[in-house]
Amino acid sequence: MATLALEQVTKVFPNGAEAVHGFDLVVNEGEFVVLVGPSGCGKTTALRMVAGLEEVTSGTISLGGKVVNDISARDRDVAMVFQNYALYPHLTVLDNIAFSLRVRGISKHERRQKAQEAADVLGLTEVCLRKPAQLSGGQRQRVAMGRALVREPAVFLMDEPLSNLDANLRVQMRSEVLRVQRHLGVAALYVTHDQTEAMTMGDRVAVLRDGTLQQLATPLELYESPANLFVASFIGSPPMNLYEAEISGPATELVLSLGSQRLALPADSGHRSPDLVGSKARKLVVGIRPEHLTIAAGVSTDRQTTLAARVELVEILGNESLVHYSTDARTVRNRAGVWTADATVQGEIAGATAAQGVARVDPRVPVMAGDRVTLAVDVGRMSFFDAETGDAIGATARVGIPPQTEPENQGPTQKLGA
Amino acid sequence: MSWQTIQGTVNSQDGGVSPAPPRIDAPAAQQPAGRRGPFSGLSGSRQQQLAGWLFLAPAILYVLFAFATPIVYNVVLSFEHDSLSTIGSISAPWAGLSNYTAMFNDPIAKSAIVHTLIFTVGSLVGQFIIGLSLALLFSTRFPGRTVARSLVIVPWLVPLIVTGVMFRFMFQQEGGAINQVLVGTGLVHNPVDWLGTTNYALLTVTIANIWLGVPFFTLLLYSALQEVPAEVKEAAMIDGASAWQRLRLVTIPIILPVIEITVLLGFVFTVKVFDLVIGMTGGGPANATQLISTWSYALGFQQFNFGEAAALNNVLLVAALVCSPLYLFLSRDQLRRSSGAAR
Amino acid sequence: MSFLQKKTAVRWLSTLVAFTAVAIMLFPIYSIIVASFESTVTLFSTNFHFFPYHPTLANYKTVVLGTQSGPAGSVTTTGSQLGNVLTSLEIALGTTLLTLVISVPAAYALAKYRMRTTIFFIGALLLAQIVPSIVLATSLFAILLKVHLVNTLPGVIIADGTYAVPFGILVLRAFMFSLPNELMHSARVDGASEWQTFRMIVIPLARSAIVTVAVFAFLAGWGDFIFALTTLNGASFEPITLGIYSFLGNYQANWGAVMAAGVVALVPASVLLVIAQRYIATGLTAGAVKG
Repeated sequence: MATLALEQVTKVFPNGAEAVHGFDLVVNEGEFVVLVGPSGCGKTTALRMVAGLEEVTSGTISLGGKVVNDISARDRDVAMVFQNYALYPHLTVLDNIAFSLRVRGISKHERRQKAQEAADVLGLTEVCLRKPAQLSGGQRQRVAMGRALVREPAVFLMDEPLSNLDANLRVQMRSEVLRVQRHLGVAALYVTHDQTEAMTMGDRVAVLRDGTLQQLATPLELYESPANLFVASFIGSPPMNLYEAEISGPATELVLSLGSQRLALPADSGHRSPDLVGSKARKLVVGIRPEHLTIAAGVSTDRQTTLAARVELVEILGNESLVHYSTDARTVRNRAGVWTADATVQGEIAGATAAQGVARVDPRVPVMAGDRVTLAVDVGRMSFFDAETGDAIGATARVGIPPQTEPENQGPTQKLGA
Repeated sequence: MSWQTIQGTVNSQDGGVSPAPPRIDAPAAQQPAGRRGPFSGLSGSRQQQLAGWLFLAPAILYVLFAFATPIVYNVVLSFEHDSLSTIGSISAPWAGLSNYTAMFNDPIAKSAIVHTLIFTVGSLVGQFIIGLSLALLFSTRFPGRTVARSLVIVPWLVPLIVTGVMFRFMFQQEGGAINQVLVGTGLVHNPVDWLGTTNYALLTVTIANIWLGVPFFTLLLYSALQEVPAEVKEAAMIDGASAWQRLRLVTIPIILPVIEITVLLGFVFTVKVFDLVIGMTGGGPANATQLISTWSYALGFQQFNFGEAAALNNVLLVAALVCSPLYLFLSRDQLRRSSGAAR
Repeated sequence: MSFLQKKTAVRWLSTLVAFTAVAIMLFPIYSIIVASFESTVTLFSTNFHFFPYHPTLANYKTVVLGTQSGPAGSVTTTGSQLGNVLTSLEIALGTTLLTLVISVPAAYALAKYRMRTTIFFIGALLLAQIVPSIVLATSLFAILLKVHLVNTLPGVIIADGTYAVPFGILVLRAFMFSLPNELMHSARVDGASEWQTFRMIVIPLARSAIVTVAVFAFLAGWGDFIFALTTLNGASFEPITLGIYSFLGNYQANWGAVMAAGVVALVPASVLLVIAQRYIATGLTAGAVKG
């Protein structure tokens, strides 16, 4: 039982590529932390360094306060689920689960018993004498977890363990994975590229990009107050709408200009986020979640809180509709790692094939492609980013976010076989 | 099944690599054993480097002892006057280039080189034509082809000395099956003395060697033909190509890489041939079938002239190694995979 | 004739041609099997008999007992081939063992451990395969003489290993290379030592390739003539290949016995062909060895 801590961990491959840069992370006992990011962001490398499969170039990794940099994978007492499960094809389910006990010299009787218990817990009783090739994808996944379950490891690592499963099974297995982790009650580090998986499973989520940690926070925090443009666009589906904007006006009457349109910010915005006032007459990026846009019935009220838009496409999902629209504003996109405004739409008027966006609206609102609509913006819940650095500006427009707290120990006491 | 059958696809992720240089100072005789290996104190990658070298150590020792040392020693021998009494010692008198001059003035050695060339080229042509024909035949669907295909490799399993005996028996002048058929069908009037006349002996051993190499060519070319996509041949057929055109313009170019390496390996094997000729003719009659390998054996182990034998061996080695750059080039897949090896 | 009928006819014609070709390919083997059952008198007649003429086991008796009556009442004494078969078995099994002990771990190291020398070693092995045996034989004789291994079983086994070791390493390496790295990583995370990973994961998974290499090493050791001839020329024992050669030395008196001994030498190959045909074909196409 231990806390996993990474301090300024850096990994440089012999070819000079830096896969992980100055990574700090603490995973508490019983906590489930997800590493998420696009492919090649270094998340798998980070995980493999924790496992001892990859050497740490600099920085330290410690388990329970003990630095393990120079301890080999076999002596680290970690359990790991691999993306392709890495089940030993020549061993039965039981023997696969018991393998780690076997190499540790545990008596045949004891390891049979433990493996059988793990198999029972995972619902593998019926298939425990089969070989991996005779199992379904979900069963293989369970066997891979069984290998961890039987171990009572110091830390539980998972490298995209659900990515080889079909969509339905994946959702189902999420809870299974969590159940196993609660069973073990140890620190767990979980790598995925799927932000939905990250949001639904993690106690906390670490977003990585190009080997650098972008933000480490609870899923809700990540969603409500992304630390930068990358996190803002990576978390959430459909992603946050990002527009280039300019801010002006006195602190109590801040006005945001998007193209030719104006949005008035709530009166207390300047008070809650002095940084925003400092950004006056400066270019910034505003982020609006699709669910913070609604189709307004008539023309807007006195305060300017609407955008004129043209509907390009409507995706009807039943419980909601995704309205793809264009509006007069400059969309900000991630181009080869640099945040740039979409130059092609400069100076174009509303309604042209200008900036794109998505609104998540009530499916009962009748709207069709080609319609001109007025989108009401929940101006209190917008995010602001520095246009140059991409970093979030203040926590202004957001409400009800508690300050970051250390996650509590879940204190799982239930033990396998107990 | 490609000719490099067992090589599968690779599943390496992130190219996990340890930056530590290999360590050569590993104790060579020791094998890691026991529950907790002897290197538990070492860091992960050191431990692995050490284990890697220990796994490789027996092979390195063996290659040094059984390949490197003999090849180097062969060069040394070729500059010495060695006899049976001195060959096991290091005190043989220096001979300079005299072994080489002796070799090039030795009419038998010179003819052995020529014979080896004729024998090799003749064998390769025969093996290739017959091997390709059989491979093409086996690529068509017909009843019993699996059985026929597995039977065709049988000659390859026969110990070479037995092959020599078999052909010596078949090509006997009196009571040999070949002459019996030839005379019986009226192709010749009198039994031919295949192995007893200098005119025919080399041809006869070449025929025997063709027989020996056909399974190898057939199987490799057959495997390559299996890899040719049926759609390509069908497209050529729709384009109006005749069977011969399809073979020449589509199939052969596609399997050309395999043809190259097969012929090259065939060359290497044929240059080595020894047992077969010893079994059939012993190099006779009148040295008519003396090859470099057989004459080298006679010089060394029968006349105890190890120096000249070594000189001749070096000619053979050079002949075999001349194609090594080509061979390594054609085997580049094997080599390329080696650089992609991940821990 | 309809298109379909024509196609069927072509297929059967292919069968006919293929089996004719196979028959020709196998005829030499057939001929010595037939001859091994003929009497010496028959063999010395001017006619070859395509079918057994006066079948007799006399030649096999000679092979087993080692003596036989020559023509014109002369009696030639030769050694029993039974001991030679045993010697051949010892050499073949020894070669197999040596090959596996060296090549299995080496192949694993070359496939799964990142070492800078890997590419050079593989290149060296590819080249080692093309070195003619006679070149090795002359100097190996001298070297084995120095280390007092001439005329010993270990000596000839070490020499015979030159056929199979490079081949074995290359074939096994190619196979092991295709094993997913995750399996070894998983074993390490599970707490297995390098040796345990090798023994419990790699060897079981590479079993089919190991069998292929074993079959080839066995056949190489069994069929070897050149190293037996050069390193065992003063030994009190000889393998069957040398035994046949000795018979051949005075073959005028022993044709039938040579044939019978040759047939005996075919036995292990035939047995292996039946029980391990899959592995033989695999090994042959894997690219590199021919006796």
